Amino acid sequence: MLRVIDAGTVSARRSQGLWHGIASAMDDVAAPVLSVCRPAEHYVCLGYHRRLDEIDGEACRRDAIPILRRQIGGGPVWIDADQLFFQITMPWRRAPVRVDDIYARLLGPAVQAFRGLGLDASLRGLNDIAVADRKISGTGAGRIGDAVTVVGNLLFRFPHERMVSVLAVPARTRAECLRLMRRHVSSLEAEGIAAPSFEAMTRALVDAYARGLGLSPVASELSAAEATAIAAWEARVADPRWVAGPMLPCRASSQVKICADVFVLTAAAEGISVEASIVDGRIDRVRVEGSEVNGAAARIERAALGQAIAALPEALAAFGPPGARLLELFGDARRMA
Amino acid sequence: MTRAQFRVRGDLYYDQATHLWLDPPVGGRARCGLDPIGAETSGDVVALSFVPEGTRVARGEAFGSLEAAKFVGPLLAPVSGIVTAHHAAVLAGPGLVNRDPFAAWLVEIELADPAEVAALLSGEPEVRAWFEREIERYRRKGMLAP
Repeated sequence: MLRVIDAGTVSARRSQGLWHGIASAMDDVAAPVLSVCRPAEHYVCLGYHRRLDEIDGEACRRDAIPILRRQIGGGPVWIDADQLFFQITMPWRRAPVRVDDIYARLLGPAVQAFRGLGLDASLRGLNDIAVADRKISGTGAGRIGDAVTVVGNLLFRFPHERMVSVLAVPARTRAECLRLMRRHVSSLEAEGIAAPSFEAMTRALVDAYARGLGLSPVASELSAAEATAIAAWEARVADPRWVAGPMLPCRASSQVKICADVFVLTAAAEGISVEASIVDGRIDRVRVEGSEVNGAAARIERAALGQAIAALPEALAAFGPPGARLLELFGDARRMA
Repeated sequence: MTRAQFRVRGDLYYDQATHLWLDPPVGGRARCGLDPIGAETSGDVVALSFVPEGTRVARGEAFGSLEAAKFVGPLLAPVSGIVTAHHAAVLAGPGLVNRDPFAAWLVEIELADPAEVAALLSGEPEVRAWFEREIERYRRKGMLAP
């Protein structure tokens, strides 16, 4: 049996509390649950291991944008009423062990549902659902209590400007994030797809998950235990102590991930700073500045532009100590590539 | 010793349920980390967080969490005790968990009950046999490369 819980249009807190609570209340022998909802209001949602200072708190206060934190991964995301949330939750002992298998098995049905709309959707990287190189659905996953949950949101429309407006990055970096986001984060509207009603899309997701998991869908209400857990999570996701997040180290560099294989790196140390856009493992744009580059910034940029991340050691070798320092600044990007 | 592509240390204790290793305790304290199979099945670790130093955890309770590919999972204590130290290098560079799981200790725990250590898997022949069974089990399920 596949329990289906359609929560309809819900508050910001409920849109997060819903699936956290369902997972928290799940035991080892429970049936998998597909839950869907549509947030009634906008907010910013931060992944569990991301620092709160990645968000421009002042901009959020000024524009009355709530900040919530989820207990799954990924970076800050903009949420609003033009998104449909879907979550598949099952006992972790019945879920695949490997993270890549979890995504492949539990996002495959969503891909099929989106293809049914006429989108040429596929999994890009481990867990983005994309049309070519344009993300159409952000996803994340985690183990909460005795359950594994995989969550996704189908973007009917997406306000790129509002998303970048809440990032705590310099104006130039924000502009670059916006450029890449417009290119790599899409929506049904941007793809020219006649958007189905939320109800029709929900039915398509239910059919696809039932077929994909080989289970019979059964419309269901929340149990008392689920309702209690959801209420607790609704309070937690907005609690300032929870939103502050776990203790995380400061890093010399930061990355704004746009979608799988696309991110903007900014880093600075010892008189050198770099801002680079990495697309499919290559330097798409780069700007190098600082007192320690000995007037070679333009030459370094030319040498790095278009290079594969893996080839950077060779490309920067000719620049001596500044090149070596830059290579260190690219360290996180090299690990991500 | 090496089993398949995995290096195995026979001088450590292992929690078979969570694939965490525990150092032999010294002065009532021991460090723990993910074993190579745990690291491999987690994927590329990009973030870690731990409960504050001084926090008491029971065996099976979370002493922290791990993130790989936007998946966040709890790290469950192999023994009960007080978390007395974090490994700063692994917090700053979580990829160490994948590169060298036995060097990437996560936290140090002051043991509440030494008998819990004795209940973990130990002894080189037993550890070797368990790793072989686990590798075979994961391969049969297609979770490890043949």
